[in-house]
Amino acid sequence: MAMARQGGAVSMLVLLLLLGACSLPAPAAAGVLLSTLPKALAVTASPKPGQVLHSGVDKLTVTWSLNATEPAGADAAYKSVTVKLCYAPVSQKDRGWRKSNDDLKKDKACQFMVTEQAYAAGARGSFEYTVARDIPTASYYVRAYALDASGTQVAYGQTGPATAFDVAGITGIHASIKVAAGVFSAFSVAALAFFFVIENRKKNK
Amino acid sequence: MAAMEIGAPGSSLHGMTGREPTFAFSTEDAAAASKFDLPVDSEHKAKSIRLFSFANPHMRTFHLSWISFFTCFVSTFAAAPLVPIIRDNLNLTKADIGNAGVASVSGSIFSRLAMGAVCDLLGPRYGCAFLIMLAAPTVFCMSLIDNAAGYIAVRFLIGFSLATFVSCQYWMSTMFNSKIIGTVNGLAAGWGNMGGGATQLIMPLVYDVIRKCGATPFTAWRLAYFVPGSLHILMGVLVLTLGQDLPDGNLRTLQKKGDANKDKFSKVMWYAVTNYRTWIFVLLYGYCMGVELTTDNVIAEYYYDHFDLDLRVAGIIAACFGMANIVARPLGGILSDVGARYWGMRARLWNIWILQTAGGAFCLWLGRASTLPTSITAMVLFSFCVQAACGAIFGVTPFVSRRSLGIISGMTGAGGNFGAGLTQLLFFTSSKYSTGTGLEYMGIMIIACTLPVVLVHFPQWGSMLFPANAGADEERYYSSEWSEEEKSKGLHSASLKFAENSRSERGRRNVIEAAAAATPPNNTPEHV
Repeated sequence: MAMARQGGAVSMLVLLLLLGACSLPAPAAAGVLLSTLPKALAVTASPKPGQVLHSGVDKLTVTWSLNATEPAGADAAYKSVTVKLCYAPVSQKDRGWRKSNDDLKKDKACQFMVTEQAYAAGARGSFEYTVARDIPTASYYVRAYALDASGTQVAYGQTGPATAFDVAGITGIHASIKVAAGVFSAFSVAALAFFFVIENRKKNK
Repeated sequence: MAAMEIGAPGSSLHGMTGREPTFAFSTEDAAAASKFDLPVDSEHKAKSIRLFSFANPHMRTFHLSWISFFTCFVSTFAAAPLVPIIRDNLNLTKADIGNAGVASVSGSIFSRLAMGAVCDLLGPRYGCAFLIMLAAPTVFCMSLIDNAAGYIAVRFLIGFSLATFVSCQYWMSTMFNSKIIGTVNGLAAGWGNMGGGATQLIMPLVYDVIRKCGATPFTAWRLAYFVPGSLHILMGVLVLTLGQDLPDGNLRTLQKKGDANKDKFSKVMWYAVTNYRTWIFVLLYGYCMGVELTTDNVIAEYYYDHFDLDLRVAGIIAACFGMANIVARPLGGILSDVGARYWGMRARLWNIWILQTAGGAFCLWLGRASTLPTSITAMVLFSFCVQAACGAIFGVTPFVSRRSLGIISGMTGAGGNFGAGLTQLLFFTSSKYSTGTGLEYMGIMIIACTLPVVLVHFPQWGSMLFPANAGADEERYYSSEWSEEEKSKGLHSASLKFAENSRSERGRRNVIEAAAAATPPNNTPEHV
């Protein structure tokens, strides 16, 4: 009886998993390739190479404008700009989850959004960014994409990867966590000792 | 009892305690029947199991035991689903993550060996409670680390708590009769192992809740670790207040009253180590449990990379692998017990070989699968076979020895972790093989390392390819672990009781033969 129930549960589980597997989404189509985009934006970031910024505290200013080498009017199609923080090669080494990829849909190097705003043709845009508290400790550079009306990348510019600045992330450890961990641990050891001693006394009586 | 001359009055009663049943067939002790909730045998071990009961002592022990083991699995693998957050917080490289994975399973190699001895000497209740409560500070330590070295060290220390597996199996063996021990051990261990899958669902959930309460990611994962830590403390206290070592009471009280015998560690160790069957099961367990632990550590990453899945989806698939334990491991134990009813120990051994070899074949298929549905099918079948094989192996280990049961459980358990560390190191750390190729090679190694089970032979029950030796019996096998001097003092009485209860391993055919042998054809019955 128990065996039949077990067998039934087993086949249900396998069936559910197969159904789930068949309904998983198909892999998405390839995105824009970075190598096909013109490097039409001149981007600057305020931190000097090797400077350390503290997340949650320090600020950086990023500016973008049309590259002087581009003909005037080349930016007619640019409707908006997204600026991202990208991992420098030294922070990508031995960390496959941060790997750069030419296909921008698969690229994992530029994970953090600095700003997204409208692009003013001919003018120099800028943004002051306070480094967010969830930016991890690593080396970064700044990249800006110019997007057209449909939101597809049509041009880009970046400050690195040759030059990069560092961010010192927060540890996430507060004094209250330290205290709580200490109290709970002490309680565990004390409770054990208490029971052991009490039972030994009872045994020896 | 003092040494007596041969032939002196009372000398033929050496070893008797006066509590043996005096009938040719065993009847239930009337006093025992009224004291216990479940039907019990001559050692007061339960002969059946009622899953939804919490009655003292058998079922309460069952639930305390498996939940403690489950908790330790949750805390040991709690980091795995949170690695994407932790690796950014602590600036980890791939090598750091891999090494931490190996460390998390290596610690318990030593603690499982030690735990076997602790259970033999102090009892499983204290073994479990000590370990689970002393491991709680290490779980809380995880919230305080801030670099790779700390991460690896703390995962190593938390991994020590996996030795609760040994106390769990040992405790089951003292509470449940050998006829159902396969099922019981399979259920308890399987549901405990399920913690490795459950944690992949629990930890991300707790993390999400804490994030919603306003914490930053790097603080939220640290707070999430307080959940497994608190579970440790809770279970430790429950085990100490509600548990007992043996059906009749706690080991120390029984030792004081003279009911249970204190044994020498060196002797217990010697009889474990010199029994060749111990080593074969150590190897075998490394290639079912070891492989399961390794897969727990690498499978989410494999699906994430190889099939470009979302982290949450990869985590759910990874959870399915571990959660299959809820039915798979007990199923292995049930198959073992059902087979033994008809064909005895030989069926149990064939069961192990079939399940584990099939597991290896499915692992090979998993490594080769190129589409997602085939891969998931292969993974599910692999998880069922390999986890059922774990259950099947622990359906046999209680019979390898009675005197050294604790140490053999410990050594077998340690073999599991050794296999885990070894396979992770061989196939999943170097960049020479992709994870898929690593899985293929692991499948081949499983099949090869399962062959030695053919060599396990019990004189009284036989082996896979050979029947039992003529004239061999259970008493001789279990008494061979005691010297003549110890036997004369009656120290082997527990082993004799066990031998009598283990006659069920002869299977149905042999029981008929034994009954026929008991009434020789030329005897006329007395009442004629």
